[in-house]
Amino acid sequence: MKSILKSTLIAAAFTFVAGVSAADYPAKTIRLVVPFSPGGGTDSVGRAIADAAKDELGRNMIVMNRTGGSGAVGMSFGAQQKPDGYTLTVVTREIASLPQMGLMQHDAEDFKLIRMVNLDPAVVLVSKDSPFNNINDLIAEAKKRDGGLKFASTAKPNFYLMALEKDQGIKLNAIPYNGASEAIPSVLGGHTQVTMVTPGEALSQIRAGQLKALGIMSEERIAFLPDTPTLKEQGVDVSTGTWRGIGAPKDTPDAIISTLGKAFDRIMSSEDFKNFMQKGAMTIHNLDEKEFTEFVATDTKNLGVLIK
Amino acid sequence: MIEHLLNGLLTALSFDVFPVLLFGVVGGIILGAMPGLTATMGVAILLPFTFGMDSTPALVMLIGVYIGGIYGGSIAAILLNTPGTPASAASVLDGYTLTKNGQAARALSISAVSSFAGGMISTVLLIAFAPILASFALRFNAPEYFALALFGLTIISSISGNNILKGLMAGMIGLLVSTIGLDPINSVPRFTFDILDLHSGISIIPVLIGLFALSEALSQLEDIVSDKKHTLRRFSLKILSRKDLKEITPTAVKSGVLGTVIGSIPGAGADISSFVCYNEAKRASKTPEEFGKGSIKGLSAAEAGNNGVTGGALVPLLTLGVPGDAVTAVLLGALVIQGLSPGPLLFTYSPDLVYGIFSSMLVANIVMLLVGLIGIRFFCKIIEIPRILMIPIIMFLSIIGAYAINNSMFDIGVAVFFGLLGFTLIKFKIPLSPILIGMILGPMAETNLRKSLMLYESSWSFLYDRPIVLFFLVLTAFSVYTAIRLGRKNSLN
Amino acid sequence: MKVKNLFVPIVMIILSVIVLFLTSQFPTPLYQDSSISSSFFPNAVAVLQIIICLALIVGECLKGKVQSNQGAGFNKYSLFGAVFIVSYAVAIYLFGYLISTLLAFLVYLFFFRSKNVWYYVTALVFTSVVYYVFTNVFYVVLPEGTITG
Repeated sequence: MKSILKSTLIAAAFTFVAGVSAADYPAKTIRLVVPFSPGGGTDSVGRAIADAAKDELGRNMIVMNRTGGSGAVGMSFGAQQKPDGYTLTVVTREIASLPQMGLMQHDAEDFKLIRMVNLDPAVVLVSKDSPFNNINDLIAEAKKRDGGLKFASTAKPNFYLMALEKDQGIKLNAIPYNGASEAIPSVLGGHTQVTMVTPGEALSQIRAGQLKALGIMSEERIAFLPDTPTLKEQGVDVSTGTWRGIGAPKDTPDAIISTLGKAFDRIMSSEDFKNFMQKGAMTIHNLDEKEFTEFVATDTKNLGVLIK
Repeated sequence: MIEHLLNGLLTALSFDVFPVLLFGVVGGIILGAMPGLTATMGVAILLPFTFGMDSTPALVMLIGVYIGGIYGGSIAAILLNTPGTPASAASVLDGYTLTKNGQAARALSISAVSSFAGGMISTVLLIAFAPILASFALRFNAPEYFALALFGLTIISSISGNNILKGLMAGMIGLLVSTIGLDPINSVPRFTFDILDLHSGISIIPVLIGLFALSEALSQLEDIVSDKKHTLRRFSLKILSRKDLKEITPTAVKSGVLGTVIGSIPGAGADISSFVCYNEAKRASKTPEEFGKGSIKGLSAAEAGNNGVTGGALVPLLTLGVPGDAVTAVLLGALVIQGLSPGPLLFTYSPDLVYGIFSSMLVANIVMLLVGLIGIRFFCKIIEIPRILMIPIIMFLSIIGAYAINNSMFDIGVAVFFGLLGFTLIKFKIPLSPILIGMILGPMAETNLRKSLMLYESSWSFLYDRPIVLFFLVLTAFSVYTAIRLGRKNSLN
Repeated sequence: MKVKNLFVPIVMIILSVIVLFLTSQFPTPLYQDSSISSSFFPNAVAVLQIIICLALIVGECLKGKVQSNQGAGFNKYSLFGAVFIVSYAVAIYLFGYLISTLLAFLVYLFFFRSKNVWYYVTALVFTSVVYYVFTNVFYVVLPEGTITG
């Protein structure tokens, strides 16, 4: 009897404590860890969300750039913070790849994933003077010159390319550049023949006709490049891309997660945010806790196949 | 074009643009003067505020922060030996010596005038030659960057003081430190000892803060006893003379042009530019031995060189749609948020904006000059603060600055470590700036050498079949030859 | 010859040898690489460093005549400064910015037996102004400390 009473009391006390903290939440400034440097896509999405969250949550949300190790440093930092809902992290696809390569000690399991924000396919780009006019031209040439085609890679290793290479049994010479801002000039200058980036990273060069899009690596065509066929349409069944979302340390109370989740839902459906993403040629892809967690688990498995 | 420019000028001076321009420049100067707070950070902080603004004032404000921020870094470098960013590290060499000789006002005014000259020249070149500069920039790829880095490393000889060997030793320390972290090509961990923070390598700004600011604070503390005897430190408020102006003008103009070219190459920014310009000024000088001992030409070259980048860095952004450095990366974000696609279409579809930006840059540089000159009296007050009070303030700001750059406790540790190291090396008369050069250029040399070999499928032929590479290799050989000759001369004396 | 001038080169040679050993232990990469590997550059730097340091040592030895060492050590004040910086860094990790900075400033003023009241006022004002400006203007969340946070 005593012990039951005791445990009930303890349970009640816990609910009370948890209840109080969740009901008061947020009571102070929230930090949003961005694992990449200012200026990139991840940073601007993070800043846009933080800016909008101010009005939704009634408290400031401050972006905290914590860069290094292709995102590993910032995401590991975010995973290790107190699970009180005051430190959130922008989680990127690297959380699915880096741990499997032994380059990050934390993985998606160390987070409670709150919402996925965007999902963008990769687009295959060549310079305007290139002899290639569709993906099959490229594949044929790559087969002919085994490893001779030079690919400007935005990351090391490059999973966009690896997906295509594996599917088609081809090999390109992937030169690791430091992101799209180095890879694109390299293709423009004719030093490398092809690159793959997300639409937002190359929209202006595509629109200006400096770069030719051979195909988009998604299931369906996208609004920003309506005239660019998918690889699937061209008989190459490869789709890949990148995604971002927001996570909290894994022991964060569910009540806080749901408060934040609802706030992010409202932000993502607001005109301002839609507008912002539209301008950056990024596609909003809102997934809730459960869907997002499943999505990441599947993607982790898919990447695992490429890594091995 | 002239019409567009005049319209742009009217916009820049209009009621809804000029105030934000002024705010941007002044804010940038203040921010840049703080250790660890950079122009990049300032632009990033202001970015969300531009979401709701019109595109012209939004970009003008950010560019104002950029221009002000690069100049602001030099104020602390000159007055307190605490360069806020690597871009103002070359200004320490002669600027701080001038301050120690009681000529703080002269140094600050030279800095303001040279920065102005560099910024103006750069903007004019941007307006007139952006497409040409862009096509030049596109010819740069891994082999060219490698050759540029190799040439850059020879600068160590000109900032080593009397003993080139000691400078080279320091340079090697920097190169070695730059290899810590995940290998940039294949992610192999190097010297990381399984410490996560080491995976991303040692960041340059905490090192800079440690080597210059913290070690200087320690040196000052050491001298504090002797200081008590003559607490009143005399310095004159005299700014640069007409003779000074005449002397620095050719150097400033040349550095402005060099800075623009360097700035227009993506990936080479104000830090490399200021050292390259310093090196060139010293090479061309009839009295190279004065450099490092308070040469106004040296200071002017470094200052015009780093602000000369501001216009150049916009070349790849506006013409190609790719950022040339960290600041323009954030500016690119700002353009995109405004619904504009930077690149050649920007000139076609939004000439108002492009020329608005150009004109605002001209105005921003004038504002920077005025604020810089008017501010001298006020800035000089900083060195009137009793040293006993100033020392801990520098220490605290340095450590917070080291933290702020990446919100990292680890970086505080890095700054402290390099502070103690720097102080020790000073005792052994080992120059510190070569460490910085090594850290800036090490990764550039290594990754681009390896990328070149990948591009050329393991052949070394890129060393002779690319004209720009050949040009830099000849420059490198020439620079080494000059260094050896100077070294001989020194040892004979 | 000054014995003091041999110190840094010798330390650097030892360090370079350690580097050469460590590079031989680098793991093999997961993915393809260019023809020169991860260890090429550190090795090259270490070897150059050894050559440079040997040249420095030889040059110093050629100067002949052993001179006395002086001025190499830390004096009382710089030693205090070094300890002060290190303790401040540790304190900021444990107790966060506000407490550590105020405390460190007071310790510093006590060390120099300052009797100027204004200095103490400065300490207080400086600490709080920096806190306010960083959090509200620069949007930098200053360390809160692992114990007190």
